[in-house]
Amino acid sequence: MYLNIIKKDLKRQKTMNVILIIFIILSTMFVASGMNNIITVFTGLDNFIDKADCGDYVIASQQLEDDYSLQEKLEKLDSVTNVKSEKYIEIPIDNFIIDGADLTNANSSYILLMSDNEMAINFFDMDNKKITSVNEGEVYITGSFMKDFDLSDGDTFIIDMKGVRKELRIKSHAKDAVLGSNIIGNKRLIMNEKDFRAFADVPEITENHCGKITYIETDDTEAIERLLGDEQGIDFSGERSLIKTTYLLDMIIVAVLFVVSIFLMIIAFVMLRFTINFTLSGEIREIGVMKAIGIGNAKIRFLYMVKYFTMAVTGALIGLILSIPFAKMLLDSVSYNMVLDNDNKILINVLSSFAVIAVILLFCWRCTGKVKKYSPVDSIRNGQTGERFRKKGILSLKKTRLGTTGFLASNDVLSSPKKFGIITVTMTILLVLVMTLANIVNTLRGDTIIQTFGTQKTDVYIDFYSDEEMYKKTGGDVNREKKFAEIEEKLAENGMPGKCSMEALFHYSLAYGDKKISLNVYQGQNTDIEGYDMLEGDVPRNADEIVLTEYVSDYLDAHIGDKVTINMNGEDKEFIVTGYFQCMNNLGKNARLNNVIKLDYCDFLGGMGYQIEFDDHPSDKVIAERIDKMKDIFGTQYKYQTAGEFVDECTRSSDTISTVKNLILLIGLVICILIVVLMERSMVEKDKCEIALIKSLGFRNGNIMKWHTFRMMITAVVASILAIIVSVPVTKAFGNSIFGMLGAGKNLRYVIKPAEVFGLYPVIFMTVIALATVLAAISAAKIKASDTSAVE
Amino acid sequence: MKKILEVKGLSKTYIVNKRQNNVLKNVDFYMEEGDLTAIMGPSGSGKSTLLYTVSGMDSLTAGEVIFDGRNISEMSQKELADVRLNEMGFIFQQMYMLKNLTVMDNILLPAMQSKKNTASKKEKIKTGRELMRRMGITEIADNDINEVSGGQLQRACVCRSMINSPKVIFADEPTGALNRSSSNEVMDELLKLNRDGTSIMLVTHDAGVAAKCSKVVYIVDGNIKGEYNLGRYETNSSLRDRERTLNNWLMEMGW
Repeated sequence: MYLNIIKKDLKRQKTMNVILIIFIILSTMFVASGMNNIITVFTGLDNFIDKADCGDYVIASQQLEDDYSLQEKLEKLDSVTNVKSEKYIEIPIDNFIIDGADLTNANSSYILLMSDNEMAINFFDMDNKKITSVNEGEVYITGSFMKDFDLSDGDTFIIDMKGVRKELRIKSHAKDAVLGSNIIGNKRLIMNEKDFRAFADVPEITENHCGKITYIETDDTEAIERLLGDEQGIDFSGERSLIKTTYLLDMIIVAVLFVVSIFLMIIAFVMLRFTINFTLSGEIREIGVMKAIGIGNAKIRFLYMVKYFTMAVTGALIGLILSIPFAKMLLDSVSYNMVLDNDNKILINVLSSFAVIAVILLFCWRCTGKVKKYSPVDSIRNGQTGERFRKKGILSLKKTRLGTTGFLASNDVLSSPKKFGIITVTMTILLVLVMTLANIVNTLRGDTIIQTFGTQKTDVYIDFYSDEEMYKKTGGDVNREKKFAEIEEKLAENGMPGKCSMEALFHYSLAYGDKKISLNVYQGQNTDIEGYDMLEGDVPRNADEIVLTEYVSDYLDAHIGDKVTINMNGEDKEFIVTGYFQCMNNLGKNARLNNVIKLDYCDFLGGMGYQIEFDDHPSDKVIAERIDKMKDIFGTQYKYQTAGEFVDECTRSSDTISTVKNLILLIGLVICILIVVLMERSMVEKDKCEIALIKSLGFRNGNIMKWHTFRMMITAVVASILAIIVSVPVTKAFGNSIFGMLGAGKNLRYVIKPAEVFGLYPVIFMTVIALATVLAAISAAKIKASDTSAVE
Repeated sequence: MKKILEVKGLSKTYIVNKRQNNVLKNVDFYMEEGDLTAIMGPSGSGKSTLLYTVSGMDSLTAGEVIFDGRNISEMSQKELADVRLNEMGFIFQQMYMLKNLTVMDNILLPAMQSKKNTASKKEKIKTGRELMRRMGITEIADNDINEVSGGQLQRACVCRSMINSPKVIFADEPTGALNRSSSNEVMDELLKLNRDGTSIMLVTHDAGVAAKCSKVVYIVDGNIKGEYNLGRYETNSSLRDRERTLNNWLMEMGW
């Protein structure tokens, strides 16, 4: 008998049961894959760094191949237990010949060549196997190099520099724990020692292009910071936590997906509750009859439990199977650069699926508690005991100006706020997620946060890496000034006069009291000092003034008014801290000097490119035209970017976040469709009598469709308004926390494109909801006016 | 008198599990303006089907239904909806009303929906109030439908059926769910409407209710077995005599 009742129920409520199973499948799939990913990535990052064996502190320095002085000094420190280093040669990207590739696509103009004999840390191939050696003529490549140039395993390219020409075949992509994240520009080519020597043995190549990466095992990183304070030629230095931070954007993507997973699970449960309640209210007669013939509450509840258990197990099983490839798909973008081994992959998925089933059953047990409330008399009265009074509609047809369908729709929504609230809340959350990510993407592709990358906003940015060589020496500033004059002259000659400037980076050590920090110091070359944004205090105008990031200020405990010391060419110079600024580069370890002081260019680390500010403040379209013109004038070997493109390249994450946003948009729309169809179909079923009645009164099918669509649209409009209100503060909170972790989370101006964010996305959601409602409401058209009397 | 409703060769067949069920078989009858016709017959004889088919609420399998000179069997769903809205009124055995609306809003709903009812909103509200006053239920206008008695609710349903001044009211056992006192009240109101010129066709099992009608049509197995013309019921005439006469006829019919 029980089986027959279940069979009848499954047949009668086919559509809703199918939708419910889809929800269970989706929630299991998302919970299992989300849980798996979060465990894999959060534990995986530490595992990866451990497996790579890169110690507790990493230093990238410009040192000659045979210079081991830094290593020796480090080894002398008591707190240091192990020091190892690997040599590299920097090869400018324009020395690469890659068939069909646009070299300006590279986000770094130098590629680091490394010998397989020199691997001090562990590198891994795409199968997560440790790379032990490289065959002659082959290379492993880290970072986004292969993606940048659309290269695959087995492709070849040529390096042609200072008379050495070598064709190399790509063995595979390599995972590099230290420099592998997208946020780090440098990529490494790991090659056979013989191939490496072909370049390393040529003094013209190694001169000014050699460096070392040193990995230190220590329990006192401050001692290393103090030591580095007196060292020259440090490009980068940081603790293990800093390396982990470079993977922050990957973690954010996983975290967003996890939040979506949790959210989907909540939706699935809300829908489940809705469906169970609906099923039970539709079964009052059956429940009453069962009770009247003496079947106990527990047995009736058991009946429903069996139904939902069957559905939960079926859905969870399918969800579990789908979660495995889905988890892999989600992790693909993250695992490209990381070794994410999870030995318990299947176990986590299985446990998550069990958890979903358990929660569903627990939930069912609670919901079916209603059975106890129904008495046999309820079956006779069909649930109407006469004692339960509904709250009547808030609106009045006498006063409304909405028209009958509009009135009925609004009145329904106001009369059943809980029921319609589900879709409002669901859609609001989904829209806020999409809007927030869209705002982040637009901000990363816009120019409003450009100052957080250490540079002022100008019209055009031209990379100048191949010119750097002529600046990295005492008197390099003269060469730089000449280059500025030359650029400005050529621009003027071609009818687009403008000012050329540059942000120069120097590596110094800053000291305050007994604390020292090795960091990047910016100095604007030909820039207007008044144009820099300060978080607090004032810009450094005088030769003895400096501003610090909050990270540096906190580290040194040096505040506005304090005097910090910089060792410049063996001479200690004091600078007054006049303010705080924020800069994401080097993850916040930065300072900015005034534009007045003349710095020795032998400490010049690099620059942010030539910046052009046209005198006539041209439009974006004109700037784009001028960029084309500039390519003809200065050559295509340089990379030309607008401010927005410059920002985008600094993080290289907007595309990934945009993909996640589109994925959430798609998932959100699917969720909305499912919810709307489920709710609409169940409401049509429940309100069959009212629909038949209203038809008997002379309402057409079109009126009923309009009525039902209107009420869903009301919820969609309310959700859109709520999302619009909430999205900006959420964007700020979310964005500030992310950018804050990268070193700049205050006073950020987010790019909010109203047409896209407040227009397009709500319209997409509303259109989809309207279409889904119309499709689901077609079932109402099948109800005949004469059914009024047929409905019990 | 003008024929307001004429049914010619009406058949209605349901197909359930590939089996034909001929509910109405070649039915012919008519109603004149001002008629109060009762449809009677045993359960499952096709009374309600006849009511719903001639009122255009359900489709017919064969035959013609001429309503006020127009063949409604040839009308589209939209046209039928318009006719139901503007020219017909319906009362059901259960007091079906929209649960989220007050009694007054339920009554006003067809008027507000009708484009042919050109009265202003104020006038429509006034008409609604007047109908409620006539039915003696003014005090429940703003009540929720769960807050009023069955008799009051059925009278509200009568008001709703009247709001667009229909030519015919179709009532499916309008007193079936009411006690004797409420039943009499509702029937009295329908009689008043009929006296004011509204044609009414009702389905009933109650000979007492049918005795108040001017004509009784007896239907068995989808066929009209007989029609009995009782003549107009006047308040001063003896209801008991009419009931006795009708019962005798019904017994002849096999009631």
